[in-house]
Amino acid sequence: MVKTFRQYEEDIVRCNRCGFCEEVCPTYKATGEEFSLARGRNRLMRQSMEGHFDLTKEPEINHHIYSCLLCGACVVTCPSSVITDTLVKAARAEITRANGNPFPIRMALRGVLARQRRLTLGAKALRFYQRSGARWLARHTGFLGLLGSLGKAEGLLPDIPARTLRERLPEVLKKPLKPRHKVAYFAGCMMNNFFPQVAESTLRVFQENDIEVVVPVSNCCGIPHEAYGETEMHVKLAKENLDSFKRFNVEAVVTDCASCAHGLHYYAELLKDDPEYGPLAQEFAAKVKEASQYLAEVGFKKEMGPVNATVTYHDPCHAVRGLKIKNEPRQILKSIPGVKFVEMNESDWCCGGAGSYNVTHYDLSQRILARKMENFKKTGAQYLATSCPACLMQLAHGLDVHHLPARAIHVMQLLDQAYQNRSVKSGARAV
Amino acid sequence: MVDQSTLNELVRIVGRENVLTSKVSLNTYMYDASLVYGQPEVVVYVQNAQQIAAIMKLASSKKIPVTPRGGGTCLSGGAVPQRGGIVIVMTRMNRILEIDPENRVAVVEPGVTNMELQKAVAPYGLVYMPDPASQKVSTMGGNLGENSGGMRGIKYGLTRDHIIGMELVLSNGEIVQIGGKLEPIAQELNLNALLIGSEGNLGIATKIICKLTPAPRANRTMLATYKTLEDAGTSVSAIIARGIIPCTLELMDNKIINAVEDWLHIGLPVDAGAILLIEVDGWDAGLDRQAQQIMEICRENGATDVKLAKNAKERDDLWTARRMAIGAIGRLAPNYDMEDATVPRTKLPEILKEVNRLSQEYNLAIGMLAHAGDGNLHPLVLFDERNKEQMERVEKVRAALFRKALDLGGTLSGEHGIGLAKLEFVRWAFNPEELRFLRRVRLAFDPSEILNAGKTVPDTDTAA
Amino acid sequence: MRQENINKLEKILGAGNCQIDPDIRRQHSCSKTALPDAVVYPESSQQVAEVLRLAGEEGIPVVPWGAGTMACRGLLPLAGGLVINLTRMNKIIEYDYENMTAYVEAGIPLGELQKTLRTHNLYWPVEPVEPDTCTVGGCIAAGASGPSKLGYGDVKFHILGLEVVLPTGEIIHTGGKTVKNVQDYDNTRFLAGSWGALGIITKAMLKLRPVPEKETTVFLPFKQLKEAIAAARIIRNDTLPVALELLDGAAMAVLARAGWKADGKGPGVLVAYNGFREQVDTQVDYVKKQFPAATILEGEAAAAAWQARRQLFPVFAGASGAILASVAIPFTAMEEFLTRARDELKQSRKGAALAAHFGNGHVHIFLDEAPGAYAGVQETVNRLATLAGDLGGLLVVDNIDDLTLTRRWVEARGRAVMELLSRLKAAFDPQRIMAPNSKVLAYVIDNSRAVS
Repeated sequence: MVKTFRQYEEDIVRCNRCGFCEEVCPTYKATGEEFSLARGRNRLMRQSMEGHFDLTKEPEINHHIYSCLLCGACVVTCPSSVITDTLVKAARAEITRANGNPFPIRMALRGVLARQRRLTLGAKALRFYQRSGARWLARHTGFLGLLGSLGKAEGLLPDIPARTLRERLPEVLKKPLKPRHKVAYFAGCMMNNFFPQVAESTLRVFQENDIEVVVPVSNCCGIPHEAYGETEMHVKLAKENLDSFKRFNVEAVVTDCASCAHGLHYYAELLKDDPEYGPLAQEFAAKVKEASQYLAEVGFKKEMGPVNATVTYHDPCHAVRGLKIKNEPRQILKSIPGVKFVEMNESDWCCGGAGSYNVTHYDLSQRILARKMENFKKTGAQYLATSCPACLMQLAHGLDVHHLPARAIHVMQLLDQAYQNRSVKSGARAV
Repeated sequence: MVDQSTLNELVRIVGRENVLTSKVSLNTYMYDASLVYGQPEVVVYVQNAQQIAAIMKLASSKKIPVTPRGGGTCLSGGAVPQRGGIVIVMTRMNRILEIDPENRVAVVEPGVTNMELQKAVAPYGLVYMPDPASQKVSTMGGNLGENSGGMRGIKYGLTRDHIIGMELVLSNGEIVQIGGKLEPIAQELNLNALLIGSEGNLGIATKIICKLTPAPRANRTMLATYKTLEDAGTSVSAIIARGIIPCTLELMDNKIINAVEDWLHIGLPVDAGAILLIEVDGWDAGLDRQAQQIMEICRENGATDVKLAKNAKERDDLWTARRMAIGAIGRLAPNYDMEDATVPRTKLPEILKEVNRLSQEYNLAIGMLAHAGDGNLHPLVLFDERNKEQMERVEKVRAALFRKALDLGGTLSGEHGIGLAKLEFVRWAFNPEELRFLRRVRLAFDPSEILNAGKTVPDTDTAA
Repeated sequence: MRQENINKLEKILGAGNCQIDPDIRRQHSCSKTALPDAVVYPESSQQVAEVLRLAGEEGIPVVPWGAGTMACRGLLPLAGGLVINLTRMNKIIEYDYENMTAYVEAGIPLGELQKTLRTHNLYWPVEPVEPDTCTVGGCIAAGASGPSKLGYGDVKFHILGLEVVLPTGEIIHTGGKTVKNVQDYDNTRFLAGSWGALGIITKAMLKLRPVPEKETTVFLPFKQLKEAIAAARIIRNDTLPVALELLDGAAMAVLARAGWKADGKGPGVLVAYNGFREQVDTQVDYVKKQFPAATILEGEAAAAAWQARRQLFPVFAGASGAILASVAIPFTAMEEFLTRARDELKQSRKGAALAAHFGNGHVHIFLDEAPGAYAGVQETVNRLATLAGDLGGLLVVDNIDDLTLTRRWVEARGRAVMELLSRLKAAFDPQRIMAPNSKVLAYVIDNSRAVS
């Protein structure tokens, strides 16, 4: 079981208020406010722990606790290694335990995200909204303006494809003639419903590399639930996924969503004291690999066609700080002939997507995104590559809103295109 | 002191969303990086000098204390509103207004961090020389107020040597221009000098004019190991006596070495009494000879080993211990206190010995870091804020440290300022006449004494 | 001054240390007719304090004095009052060569000080016009600087602390012994350049430097001013000179009369490099490569050149005197200012010379007219002042009594500055006895005090 808020006293007192987190905290950089800074959030949590406030009854504290991106940059920079992101999550769990989440959030977490069929139904409804003219109406009649942050966030939605990944699996999954490896692919909620074409690229790439892929039934990895302090639901989902995956004898559990990868890896910590699922979670977590991480480990074919473009890479928080993955995606991009790779300034700064943050905190997330776009502009790149669909959605929105002539793309899509370009004689097609 | 009509006026000046009075928001403006706390009555975010001027006019007329705040990284309580009143948050005045490379001048708003300025001028082959350890987060307004130092201080000087002018809001709300981009030619009193290091007591800077320096072309980095702190101290004196002024001369003691080694396992000499990180810079020609001379001097003075970096990666490695020193110490206890008493360089071994003695006498772990070149000591005292009895011992160590520094011809603070944290000790450094005089100077700027009221110069028992 | 006050002074200082002889009084004034009533020679800070307390009680204006080498640059004529000559307070109290500091009494002449400092291979890098006779206190009060301010800055960069006797009779200490020191407001540097208007510096903690391993001077002759300017610009941008002086043809001719003659008749550039020999050689080689006509001066030749440079204005002025105007200009505007100023001066048909501390953006304009006959050049000066202003700079005339240009400059800082300066003056000198003729505040406060 994870620790509860009060059990973190020894961790929370370690903050010396040095302020070094100011350098890297995106919400502080965007606002200049102390309570939007790791140090300020620590202060409020500590004051609550010491009895000056009731954590569960202060809407303002709640607001500041939830304005944290959980990007973890503060933890890396802190001279005292204060684990602020963990503390924030613990505080949220404490608040949720006392008050429950607001109805729409509860509905989204329990009623939709934890029920894959409903989630897919919802996605299809959104697709209908997009294609039927309803979206045009909503946007042009000012209706969206009535919906606050949600209304603004509407622009984030990618065009939702007709079929989910799961629906496409029969055409996509092909067992290689001479498989070198066998892995289980975890189809995350966003990949399955919003970006199935990305997932397809991933599966094609793996199969191209003689890796047999199975796609077990799975539920949400539980990261959103953790972010909203829904500990019970989080544990339930973990166990459900573990039960599903244990039926397969595979070398690795691979996913192309960095968030899911981190979330799945976390099951070991989450369930480490659970007598029944503990050992299973340890075993499972050891097998969890992010897609580029796995390919870098087992090796991937270098015979590719060219993709002639300048490419830069945005490090998703869950990859660079969650899983300490930095080189592997770059390795892949640099191995593609024709790619000119340029490093982006502050490439590991949060894009402001942070899961559902860009929906619940649209304005602030856009200010954070603006900094990312400034940095991207300076690279002059045509592709902004990343390895998380949440980042993908946020970055694509940023390129659109800032009118930048570039495309947000997943690393696996570029690799997939490179393999496909092998058969094209000349003038390799852009992705 | 801050009544409803004051609040209404503040709202009129900066807008409702920029005036905070809730318990929760005030709570997060009660501290900086020191051990002092104080609760403001209202927190205000400002965007420009006109807003600050209007607020100061209001505060002056009603005698409301005002505390300007940048990043709130001050180590002496400079950003803590001990007397309540208004906190003016300057973080949103964070634009770099001008960089003029050939005239070697930059103009910045006070909320720009030191490092942001460094990064902005680097592409022109220029450096803003003051490099306080907090440079990634401390703001230029704060650097100005505290006359911030840094490792380069011994060779290149301090903030007062590199800020040549400012736009200033006086306590009565008037806006004036101090100094300027040109080197002075007219016979004027040097108000610029008085303002730098004045801890926010004499005015609020709203534009800061900085002098830029051509970046040194090359450097050589060395790490010397010693059995004792004394040997390291003698080396420091000997190097400088040879006429070599390094741009970095950092001392770390056994506790720091072990803290870093325990954490990072990089092969530091865990039995050493001290290590010295030394760097010389300038034109490439002649640096090898300077480095050789330094290494000889170190060996002559007891160094058991001296490493010279051959490339950028090796240089980075040699710097690791220094870079991670505070982090390494910070892991060992919930809290640490970093003082900056300073002594003449030759007295460094003596005060280091004293700190060791105090550490044993009061049973507190103290790691020693020092800008050895200018005698600027940074003892890192470990403790737990929640342990009141231990805090009392920490206070006794601080007092003894200041006593010794003054006895050795030194000062209470080399860079962090007096603020609130050392206010009680200022009476050891100055006699009543001198304190009265300092207060008269302050009152000339701020007759109502509302700017950072109660800090730097005691205002009780020092009737001006 | 009333006889009873003279008696009181004699009691405080001893009869020999209180002088009313007219010749001595004339030596301590900036005018042939407006003389102080007496000159006193204290031997300790306590005596200084007692004198000031008496002056405060009796409302007697007081002017501090060292060797007087620069006094009249910063003081207006004053009739009456008391001059306090600090030259009997001339000891080195502590020479801590290991810490590179020297704690000295203000009256010590610089030449004597430097001699002692050199015994441990150190020196104090301050360059007044008279580097032998100027006192330390005088250097500090006058904000002394010379060509080497380019490399080292003026005097305020080289003081760590002061003992000051305030006009109230309080003896206070500012700063301390360490380079890093923030325990008081920086009154130390504030008092540098205060020209005696706020108090009397009696002791100073000096920050010393090691004598450089090598010092080399390079002289570059040119036919045209434009070439000289272009060269100076390159030298300042590409190297790190300790001094960089540009002299027009007229100034070069004066330089010859002052004791150092170069070949050729056009403008010249004098550059100094200091430091470790490889660093000096690298830079000198670079200059020689860029400008093959450059000649290297070392040892006595270099000393003679710099000595002549220091004496440039006195030699130009001669017995009849001359007007000295100083200009501060952005570095990037130096070329335009110098060339247009030269043209302006040619048109004015007055004897004139230009000498620039090029790297600092400072230009000194010498005008061949006695200070008493300023009206003859006023129009030219005004045009030069306008030129300077248009280019983002400032012109002041150093050696006349008219402070209009300076006052305008200070007033432009904001009306509140004048009020602030007035309040600061009151904080130091509530009785307003301290050097009321000091230019640095004369345009701020009423300076019409004169008591006989």
